[in-house]
Amino acid sequence: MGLIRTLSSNIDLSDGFSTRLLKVHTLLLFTFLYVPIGVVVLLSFTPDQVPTFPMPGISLQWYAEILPPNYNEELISALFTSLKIATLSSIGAGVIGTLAAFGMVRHDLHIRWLSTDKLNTAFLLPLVVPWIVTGIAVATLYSLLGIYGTFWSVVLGHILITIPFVVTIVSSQLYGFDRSLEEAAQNLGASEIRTFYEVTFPIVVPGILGGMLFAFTISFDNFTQTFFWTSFGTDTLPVFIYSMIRTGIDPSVNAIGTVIVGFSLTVAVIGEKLSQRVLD
Amino acid sequence: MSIKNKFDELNRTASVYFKREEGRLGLLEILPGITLITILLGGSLGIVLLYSFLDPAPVSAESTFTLQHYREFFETGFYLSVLLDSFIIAVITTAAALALGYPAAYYLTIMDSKWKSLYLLLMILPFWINVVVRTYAWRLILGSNGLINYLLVDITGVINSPLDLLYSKSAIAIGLVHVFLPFMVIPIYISLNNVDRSGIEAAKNLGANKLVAFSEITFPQSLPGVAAGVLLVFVMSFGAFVTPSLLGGQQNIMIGNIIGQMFNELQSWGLGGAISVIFIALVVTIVYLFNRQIGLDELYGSGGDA
Repeated sequence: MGLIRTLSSNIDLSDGFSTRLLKVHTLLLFTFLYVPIGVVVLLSFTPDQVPTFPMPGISLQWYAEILPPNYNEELISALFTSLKIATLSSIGAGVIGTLAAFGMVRHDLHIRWLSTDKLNTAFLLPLVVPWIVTGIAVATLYSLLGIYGTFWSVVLGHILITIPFVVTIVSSQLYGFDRSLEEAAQNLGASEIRTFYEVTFPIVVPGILGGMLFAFTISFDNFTQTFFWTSFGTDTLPVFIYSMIRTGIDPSVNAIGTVIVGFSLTVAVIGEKLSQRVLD
Repeated sequence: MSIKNKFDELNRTASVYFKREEGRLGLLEILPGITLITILLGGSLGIVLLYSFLDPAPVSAESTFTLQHYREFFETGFYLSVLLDSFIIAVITTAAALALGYPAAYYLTIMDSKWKSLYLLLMILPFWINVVVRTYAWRLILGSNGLINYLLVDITGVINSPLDLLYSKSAIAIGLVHVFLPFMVIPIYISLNNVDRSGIEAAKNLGANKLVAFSEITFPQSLPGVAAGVLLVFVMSFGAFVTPSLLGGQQNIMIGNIIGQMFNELQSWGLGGAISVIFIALVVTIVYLFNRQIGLDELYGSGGDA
């Protein structure tokens, strides 16, 4: 440490130089993050059977293949399965997670072995346990119960893995909630229920929606756990794409990937706007 | 963990902000969530633990208690060597993500506010894009007909024959860094953003140059974020499944792929269970030792119940 200290006190970086160096590093990092995504998008327009460089031209044939009238039926069914599962599980996680956040933030449970701290940890567990282990473990339970591969079992699993996000986002909003507003409403004669609907709920709702949107995306994108939970007929979009990649080169993967990137980015920007509203 | 830290901090603020209510309603509100986690996650982990001691597993009339799955794991060098490989890949991924992520997170905190929100958005956006698609993208870059070989062989002619980049441990590590980088940058950015600026100014007024001010004041205060990022990236890349299976090929697999194979293709739920139990035990031990070594509790201040 002594050596480093002597060294660092003798190196005098000018403000401009070190900042520029950091900026170049950050821009290179963006290149690293976005070039692969750009390559997928670019190669989705190749007329070639094999997505490689150089591209002999530009063609929309792979988009034509995934869109009506000659769309891939399995692909569309996987897409709808994903959308249904993401919608249902974000609603489920939204309800269960919001309730839990209210319970944890607003109540003293007075149970010695169940402190708020332990509850917080418990609600983060689905995020912390290695995903592959959650995947195989829940699949084992499902097959024991005889519900393995069913649509609703996948929804239930997705509620489990998205709850941590809803609980975290909603409780951080509840912690920042000024309860004197509720007191004021009640002092002015509002009933407890009316206070909830007219004061509490409108303030908390952006947080709940933000959490649900997050849950939706997590569910829509989830692969590792879902791969072990679905079977023929309940395959989600990521699982379908994965098997497409594994079984060989299908150039329409790039077109599908591009559509997914476009969709995810739209949802992400909406999500960021929403969460900024939450943070403000 | 940063999220937990945030909770503790918020808890403390909360006790000042408003009074908590007494009564059973809170328990009722928590019940659905806690039941789901206990039964679905706790129950299923319990079954995996049970199966790891049974032969044959899953349960049948002939199932008996046995330690043979654990014996098989330790006596077959293959599983241990995959576990070691996975550990090394996870450590390299974590180190690379830290080396790449820290300077970027630091730049985000000192940069002009005009571009800041755009840079932050660009840093977070990849997190929203599907992992399968992002991993697949690296096949188009590292493959023998990929972008890098195209640039090296066809365009610049630096080399004559394409390099074998895909299906290697490096390819796995590159893919993992790409996938998990936001999990490193965001916690570091949050803790750097909370650094008390007046301390830095004071140090500079007392004659410290930028580097000394950074290493003595800024860096120590960013350690909770570093610790959180390191833990998240390490744990997630140690248990990675999709990245090694798409970028590692047959030769380079990680422990997650073994566990997956045991349950899917091989139907060896007993051995798969034993490997899962050993893997979880190892992860928990590493996280525990890391916490003790780094002294997370001290870094975070006294946590405890609010």
